[in-house]
Order: sequence, then structure tokens, then C-alpha cells
Amino acid sequence: MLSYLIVLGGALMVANLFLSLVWSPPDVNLTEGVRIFYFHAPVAWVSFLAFFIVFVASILYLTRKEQRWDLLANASAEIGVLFATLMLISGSLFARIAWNVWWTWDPRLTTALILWFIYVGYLMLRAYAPQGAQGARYAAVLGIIGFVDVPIVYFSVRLRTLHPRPIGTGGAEADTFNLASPEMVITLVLSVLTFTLLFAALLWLRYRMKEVEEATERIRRDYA
Amino acid sequence: MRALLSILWKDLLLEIRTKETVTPVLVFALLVVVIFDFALEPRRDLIVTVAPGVLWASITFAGVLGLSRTFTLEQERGGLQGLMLAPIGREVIYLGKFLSSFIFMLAVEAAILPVFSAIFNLPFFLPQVWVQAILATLGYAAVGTVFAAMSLNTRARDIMLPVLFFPIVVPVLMAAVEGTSAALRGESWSGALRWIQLTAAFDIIFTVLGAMTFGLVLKE
Amino acid sequence: MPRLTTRFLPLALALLAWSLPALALAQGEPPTGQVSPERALPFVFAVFAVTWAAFFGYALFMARRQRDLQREVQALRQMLEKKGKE
Repeated sequence: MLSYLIVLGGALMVANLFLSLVWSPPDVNLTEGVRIFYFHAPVAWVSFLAFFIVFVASILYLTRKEQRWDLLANASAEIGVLFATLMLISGSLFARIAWNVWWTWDPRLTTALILWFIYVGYLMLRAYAPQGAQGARYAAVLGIIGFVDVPIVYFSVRLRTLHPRPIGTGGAEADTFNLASPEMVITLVLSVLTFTLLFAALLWLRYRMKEVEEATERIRRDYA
Repeated sequence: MRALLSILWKDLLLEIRTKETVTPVLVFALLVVVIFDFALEPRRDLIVTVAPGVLWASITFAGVLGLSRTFTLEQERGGLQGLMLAPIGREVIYLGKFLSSFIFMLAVEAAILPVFSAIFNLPFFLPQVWVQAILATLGYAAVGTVFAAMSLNTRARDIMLPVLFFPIVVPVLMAAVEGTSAALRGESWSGALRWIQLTAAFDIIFTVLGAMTFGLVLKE
Repeated sequence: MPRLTTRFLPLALALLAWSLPALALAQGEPPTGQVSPERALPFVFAVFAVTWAAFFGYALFMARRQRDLQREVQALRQMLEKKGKE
């Protein structure tokens, strides 16, 4: 099953690279810069998906007390931080082209940064909390609190930036772009699909690895 | 309810007798304010615009220090063990701890606001600021109590509490700064109202979440 | 288990550091109006390079974990065999 997933994912990835780098047309304002978007948007979507999975798995772990939910939350958080890091880097490069700045404190960017901090904290808690069920409960509680916090952060930054924001001071008119042609839409949809599949494969691998880790640790505890 | 009040009373009595939380935290908060003042000295003219930020940054740093104190004191003397053995719900322990942290922090704020007002020559005795301060402190205490209990058994806990606490309370901090700025600019209640509403919503959500999850954190 | 996450964090930080030269590469005059393709391409390149380096790094990290786990299982097997003989 997993090998089919990897083969399918690999094929999709090659197709996606072709579509996003060669086939899709340049944007009116951003020209070739628009191609960053076919990486940035899916990566951002996947990191939110990953943290949503952490949230759901944390609730399931706390209500059902089954270890597999804890392992899933842990694996998903790890991959989520990887994607969120990529989201911040690619977003920063995209902002430089589109808005002329590396960074601006607009609602989405600020929320993304806070999100990153919350889940880096989550991984740190995983590393430093006590072993076993207690540490797993700590992480699950943070997984829930952190995810609930994200929309509130977004809302509060939006409330603050109701007045016009000072971006694009260099006079760039390339502030906005729209997916003008059907090729662009197709490319974006395929990109999202491909990266979601990549995430699924990574999550599956990591989850199974965590299962084995857990099993060997248990054997060591019981027999050593 | 009786149990809640007795936890609260116990903490307050301990604090009145030993003064091990409010006094050091207050001194720390004052120091942070003074350090900010030194750091901003070259640009005196900016102080009016940055003062709310300085105030709330100081309160946040001091708050995280106070929060970690409340549980370390309990642990040092085996008080937490006693609390957990007592025949009361975990939510009650949470609410008790939450309220005592809230009162300690509010005491620090009440002491720091006049000093701040004097140092920066700004009128901070506005009702909007106080409402905002009370609500923000409730939010800090609601989130902080859970994380303080969590970091108790965690390695590198001195760093873990702020690392977990700061990102989560960003909305509260932002609302407090914006609400205070609006009040300082002489805007009426309507300017601060949406920030007050936001903080109130945060308080309700995280008090409920805190009460629900605190038992899971405490369980050995 | 904790070793794992502590190993992952430096990795994420290393990635951030790795992206810095790419950022420097993409520096240039701010655009006005339309972005010229010559200016945009280094950015596109940087994003792709960083993304793929990250996935590659993560795959490498997982492979290392896998190897460690295999060693662990081997050690456990030997330990249990020893115990069985006694």
C-alpha cells in the first residue's frame, strides 16, 4: 500500500514540477515570481492540515487513552513544523517579490509565525516533558490549547490592522495577483494534491516508525 | 465552593506571611520598566506611543515569573500532594490556583501602574485601562496556571514556561496594548471596546479549556 | 523518544540557516510595477532549492532513525537469545 502511494506520489511530483515550472504561464505583474505560489500555498495548507490532525489526535488521545493517537499527534506535529518552516521561508521570498518587503505584520503572516512558535514549543515539550503517559497528556493538552488559539490570534491581528497597512512602500504595484488563466488554477490544484499526498506518505512512514520505536522501548523496559 | 475559597485563602495567607511571590515579582517588574526607560532614553519623544507596549511587556515578563512561583512553592513543601489527595475536583484546584495567581498579578499591577505613570508622565488612571488590565490578567492566569503545572515536571522548566506561554497569550497582549493606546489617545470607551470584548472571549474560552484539561495535567 | 525531537530542532534551524545564502542571492533593486523575470527567477530557484533540501534532509533524518531502530532491534534480539539460553 505504502509503496503504491510512494510511486503515485513520485509520478505526481514530477508532473507537478513540470506544470508549475514550465507549463503554467507567467503572471501579469509577478511574471515568473508567481511560480513560488505553487509551492508556498500547498506547503501552507499542509502545515495547517498537520496541526489540525495534531488537534484531533490530541482530543482522541485524551478521551480514549489509546497510545496510537499520541503517536499520530507526535508524528504529525513534527512534519507540520517542517512544512510550517518551509511556509515561512517561501512566504518571505514571495513577499519580497510581491510586496517589496521580506516580512510584514499582516494577519496571515503574523498568525503563521505564532503558529510556528506554538508547535516548536510543542516539540520542545515533547523532548523535555516526563516520559510515558504523563508527557503524552501534556503534549495533548498543548495540542488542543495551541490549535484553539490560532483563530483568536488571526482575529486579533486583523482587528489591529483594520487601518491600511504600510506595505509596498517601494511603490510596487504587484501587490495582488489573480489566477487569471485556467492553467494556473489547474497547476495550483495539482500542487495542493501532490503535497497533500507527500504529507500523507511522510506521516504514515513517521507514524509507523514511532510505533516500532515504542515497541522496542517497551521490550527493553520489560526484559532488560 | 468552600474548597475553592479555602485554597484561595491558604495561598493568600501564605503570601501575606512570607511575601515570597508578590514582592520579588514586583521588584522584577519595576526593574523591567526602568530598563525599558533606559533603552528608550535617546528617543524621549517616542515614549507616548511606545508606553503601552512597555507597560504590557513588563507585566507579561513579570507575570510569567509569578506563575512559575505559585507552583514551585507548592511543590517544595509537598503542598501539591496534599491538594491532590484532598477530596475535591481538579477543576476546583484549578480555579483556586487561577484566582490566587490572578490576585497576585493584579496586586503587582496595582503597584506598578502609579510608578509607571510617574516615570513616563502619562495618565494611566483611566477606567478603560483598569478594565483591560483585569481582563488581560484573567487571561494570563487562565493559560498560565495550566502551563505552570505542566512545566513543573518538565526539564528546563524555567525556559519551557515562557516558551509555551508567550505565543498563546499573544492576542491578550495585543489587545491590552491596543486598548491602552486607545485610552491614552483620549478615545472614549468605544475605542477600547472591541479589545475588551476580544480579551473577554479569550478569558472565557481558556478558563473553560483550562478547567477541562487541568486534571489531566495534574494526574500522576 | 526525546533524543528524536531534540535532533529534529537543530535540523529545522540548520535549514533556516541554509536558506540565508539563497536569500542573499535574491537581493537586488526593489521593483517598480511589473517584476522582471530576471529578478523573479532567483527567488523561484531559492524557494525550490530550500523546499527540496528540506524534504531531502527530513528523508535523511528518517533513514538515520530507521538505521538506529534496526540496530536497536538487533541488540534486543541478541539480548533475548542470551536470556533464552540461560
